[in-house]
Amino acid sequence: MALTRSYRDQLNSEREYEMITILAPETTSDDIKVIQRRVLELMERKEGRLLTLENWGRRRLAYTVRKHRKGIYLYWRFLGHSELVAELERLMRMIEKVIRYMTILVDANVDPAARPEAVTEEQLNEAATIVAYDSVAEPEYEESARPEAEEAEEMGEEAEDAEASDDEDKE
Amino acid sequence: MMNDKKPRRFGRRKVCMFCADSTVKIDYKNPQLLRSFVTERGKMIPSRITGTCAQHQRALALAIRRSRMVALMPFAVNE
Repeated sequence: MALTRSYRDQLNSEREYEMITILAPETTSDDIKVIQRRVLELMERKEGRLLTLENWGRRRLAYTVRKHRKGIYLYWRFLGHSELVAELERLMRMIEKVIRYMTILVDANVDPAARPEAVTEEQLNEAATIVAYDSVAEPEYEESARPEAEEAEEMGEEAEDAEASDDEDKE
Repeated sequence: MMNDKKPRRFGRRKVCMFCADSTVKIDYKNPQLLRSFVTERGKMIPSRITGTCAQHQRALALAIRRSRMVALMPFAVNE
């Protein structure tokens, strides 16, 4: 029980985190299984609990990360404390397949009993299967959202004009 | 006195999209939504243009920055 606990948090509460890891596109299902096992081991040791694990598939990255144009996204949601996060991020740095990771604090002072869900074997297996994800929504936004923004831009300028004339009046 | 004031042009008063529809959640995991708040170059559009209120613009800016960190959105788009 020699864990670092925050003095700010309520007693016996946990923090809920979510973590996104991007794996190199050539990562195999077996690699993912190994990563899962190491993470679960760590969580057990640090008294955390994995709530869900999702595989978002092999996606195109918005920019190249370590010279990769694509990456496999894994989304983890778990309960734990800062010490677990520190260890997890250390682990992610050590695994070469992980090209990017980000941990976000979702909620603090979570009663562990209020989040009964735990990761299932099924989820773990599902997360280990790699599917290609094709972003369908990508070209759509340029048509729908663009004209609106341009129109808004004109309106913004008008507002500025109005403000400018206001200033003149004062002088 | 008031007559020599230049005519002021008014656009339609913009309403914060997130205040108008509270079902829309700002989330860095939803780049499709965030895309309508950046230019085609990937830069954030100021709230005075989109009409987003200060609270939601802050949340939006944070979400866009997070989204960029995990390569869901670009930092810059170079043609």
